[in-house]
Amino acid sequence: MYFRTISAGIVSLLGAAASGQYRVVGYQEQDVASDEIRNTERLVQVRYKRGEFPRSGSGRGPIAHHMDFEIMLTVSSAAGVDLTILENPASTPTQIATALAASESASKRVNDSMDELFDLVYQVLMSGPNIDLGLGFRIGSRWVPDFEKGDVYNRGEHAVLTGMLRVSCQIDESVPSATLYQFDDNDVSLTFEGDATERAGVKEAP
Amino acid sequence: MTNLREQIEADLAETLEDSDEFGLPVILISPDGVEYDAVYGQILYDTRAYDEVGIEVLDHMPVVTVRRSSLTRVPLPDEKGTWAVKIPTTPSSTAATTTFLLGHASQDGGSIGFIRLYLSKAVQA
Repeated sequence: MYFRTISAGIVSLLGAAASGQYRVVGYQEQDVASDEIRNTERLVQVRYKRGEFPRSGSGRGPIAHHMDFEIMLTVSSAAGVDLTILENPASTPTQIATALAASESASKRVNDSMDELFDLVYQVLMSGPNIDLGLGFRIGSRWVPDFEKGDVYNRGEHAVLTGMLRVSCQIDESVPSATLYQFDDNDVSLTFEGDATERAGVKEAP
Repeated sequence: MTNLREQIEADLAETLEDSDEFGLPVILISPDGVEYDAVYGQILYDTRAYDEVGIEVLDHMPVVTVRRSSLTRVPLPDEKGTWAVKIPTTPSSTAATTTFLLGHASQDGGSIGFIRLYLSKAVQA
């Protein structure tokens, strides 16, 4: 089925656009330690979340597959302060006070980082050239219908924030069978009363 | 014989500040940029905690316990994030120091005689 190809395509697409700003992986058990995302501080995980297969009229032919992919964004950060001032013995109290006043809490930093990461990922997924999610074949109704942030929590020295972004799209899945099922032919010939030649309704060859 | 309060102060001096025992040098920097030197305290580098799914973990989140009477200025509860605290990188008085921001300070040290400082890691902004 195509959904696995599309899932891998989303990972490749986001990975190609990362430019060191985040790290993309397939789905991992969500027990990612803050230390694990400390180096890049931003992690993007992709997984197929759900599929819907509306019943077709005939029950034959390609099967429409409406699918949702879940993209989990995780960011981590410590508090930020100008350490070059705080750790310089020559700094004056005024300089140190200014640096401390300008410090940013870890919670604020992860919130800002999440906003930026969502912006980056959304731009990649919804850009015009990526309408096929980088796969080279047609994918219907590519869309990012929603995004939601979680709550900031502390893990050791870092504050951690996760966000969930959903990507939906549609494709026709084909289900190849080893042996094609042969339906019985129905006899639909009609007989008309008073039609001695039994030619009624039969189109004559020219 | 000294009274009980004096006895407690003497005990805190011995248990928290004795550099031959658990006492380690702690430098406090107040929000107005003044560096208070020559304070010794007990530092717990790792803290037992539970993660968001309830699994017990050891967090590297230093907690410093200092004697209140040794402080020139005591951090107030609403001054979190505006104090800096320098502590040795490892439990050795000769180790290089690392700078943390004060996450929050315990508010119940008035009668106990000591105060706990919960530190937050700081990175270059």
